[in-house]
Amino acid sequence: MTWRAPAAAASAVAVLSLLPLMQRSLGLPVYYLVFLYSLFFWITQATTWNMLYGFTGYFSFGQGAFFGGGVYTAAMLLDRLGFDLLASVPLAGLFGALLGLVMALVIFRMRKLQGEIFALFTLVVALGLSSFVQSSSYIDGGLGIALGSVPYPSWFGSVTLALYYLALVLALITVATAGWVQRSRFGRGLFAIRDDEPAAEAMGVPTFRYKTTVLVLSGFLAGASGGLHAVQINYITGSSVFSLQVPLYVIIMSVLGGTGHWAGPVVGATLVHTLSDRLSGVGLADLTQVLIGAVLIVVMLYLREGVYGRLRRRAKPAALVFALSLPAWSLIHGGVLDWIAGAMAATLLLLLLPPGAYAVLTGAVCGAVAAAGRRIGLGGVSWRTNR
Amino acid sequence: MVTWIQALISGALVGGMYALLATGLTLSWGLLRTINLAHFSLVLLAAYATHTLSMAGLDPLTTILFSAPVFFGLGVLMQYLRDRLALDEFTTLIVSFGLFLIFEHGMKLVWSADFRRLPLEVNPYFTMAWNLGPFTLPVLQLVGFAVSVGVSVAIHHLLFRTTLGAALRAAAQDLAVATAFGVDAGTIARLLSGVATATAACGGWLLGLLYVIFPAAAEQWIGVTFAIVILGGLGNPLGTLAAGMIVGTAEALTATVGDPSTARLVSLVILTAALLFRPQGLFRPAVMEVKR
Repeated sequence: MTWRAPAAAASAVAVLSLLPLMQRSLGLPVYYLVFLYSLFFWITQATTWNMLYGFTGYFSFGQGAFFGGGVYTAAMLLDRLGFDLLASVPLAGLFGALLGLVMALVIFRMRKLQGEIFALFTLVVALGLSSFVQSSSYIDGGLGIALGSVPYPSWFGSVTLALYYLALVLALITVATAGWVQRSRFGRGLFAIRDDEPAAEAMGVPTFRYKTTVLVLSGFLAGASGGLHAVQINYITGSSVFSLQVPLYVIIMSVLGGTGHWAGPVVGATLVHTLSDRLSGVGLADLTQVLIGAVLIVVMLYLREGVYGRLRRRAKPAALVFALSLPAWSLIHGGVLDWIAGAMAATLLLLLLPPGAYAVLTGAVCGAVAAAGRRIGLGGVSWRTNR
Repeated sequence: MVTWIQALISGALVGGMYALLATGLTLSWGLLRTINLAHFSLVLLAAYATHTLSMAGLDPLTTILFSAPVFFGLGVLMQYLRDRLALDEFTTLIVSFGLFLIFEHGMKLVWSADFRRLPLEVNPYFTMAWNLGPFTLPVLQLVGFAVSVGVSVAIHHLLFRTTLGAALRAAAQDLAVATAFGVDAGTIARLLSGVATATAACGGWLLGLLYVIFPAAAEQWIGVTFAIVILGGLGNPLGTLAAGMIVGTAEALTATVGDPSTARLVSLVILTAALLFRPQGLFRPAVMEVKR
């Protein structure tokens, strides 16, 4: 098991980094690159949010502050000050980090700002930035900023490819950071803060420094990702950048995937983004949102560990369902992405099955396979199923 | 001077409406330990109900008589489910957020994303105004303000002057002890949830009469409403009313003096200051020391 996860990750990275080069020869539409860019963006955003909530126990509604701050920093640098893409992204991250630092110094000095009050405070910061940006005539003035074409290093080939690779790198850095934090001494300190902050403090965890560090880290990565996204959305308005979409989606993605593990938001972001993109494509955007809301409630009530926890326990059956439904979908409808989305939906259904129904289903399938095997003289087929 | 006083008046009237939106939220948060994001969707749903019933020929002002009882029932049902599923405070936040999504996009499917406003033929009250010397008082806003004050005073009386209210506060403070003293916490919680949701019907009724409504409108009220909930002290209806009027007048005055777009910033500055220096709110919460 120890070599499989790194090997899978390495091959996924290899495929994703080579995909743009083979995109034309494979006959894939350019849209796939845009789709994957958005996927990387959401993975980054959800993972940074989860470092605050899933690791540290601080629920934030203020993802929009880091994201939106990054978007506007990059937009100002690109549009007004003539910076190029490669320089403005880390500077947008720096703005997010600075914002995180200021928030930490104010919030964590006040003992009372915990729980719901912390959540609301972060929301206030986002709303305040939004009002500030929209009322300042130098920055936006309610008119928005149209970026147009943006200077980027020419060796990327095109702006789509530049965005694709930068978002991929940023997502990798973010996920690797989350994975490292989870395993490190720092991460164990965060988990202790999440589980019982006074006890953690009593045991010698430097709570203030750890919380500040995680807020700055989360702010940096989310801000940098926002800075990149400024180029993707191109026409930037305060009301759309600071709308509740980003803060709400990162919550959905993380909670759906599972907040206790670095891979949870990755799984959640992949599922939510892929399914909603495909269903919106066929004109079912609102129905998709209704479904996402329903799945969120089901997960919150009956599957607190998130889909990723189930995926680990039902790994082989899930892989089997995915592998079987992929060719089935390919016969029914659309392109590669539609097949993957369909297979993901089938797998998600399997994972959402309550343990009782799941046991009945796997029992029936194993029984049928064993019976068929006996008939053709294979003997008993044993297939381990746990919960 | 006249513009200033006019701004104060309109601000106070709008603030009354803010307070009406915040009342249900503060009751369920302060006394039922439910952070109900779906409250905003329910307000909007009530606005759509007002719109649809009025378009069907009912007098717009009477639509509240239909929606309030239905919403009361809805509140009772929600509390029943919350008890059945034994949700903790944080879970209610996420679950009600799921409901928020379902409602918003469900409303889009039913009523489309179009902006809607009652036409003047259906809603003649919209242009009516009462002139008091040099000042103008729009009738609908005045009605809304009166409803808001009435609701706040009535709930205040219920909470602080009746045995039922004492039982409610006791159950919120320490469930085990309250139950030992014979408080039927489940029933009174359902009752209070019904009342809180009925205030959403009142808020939505005003929204439908006074404003342009669209399914995503719920989002734009979240910030200011939470500001008022926090400022007013959790579960304190009169504090919420006062907080609503403070925020409303502060916004109106800023809009008069300076740029209207900075008006929103003012309520946020007030909220930030309050969160930093008085996180329990400007006014006393209904339940001070909660045992969890």
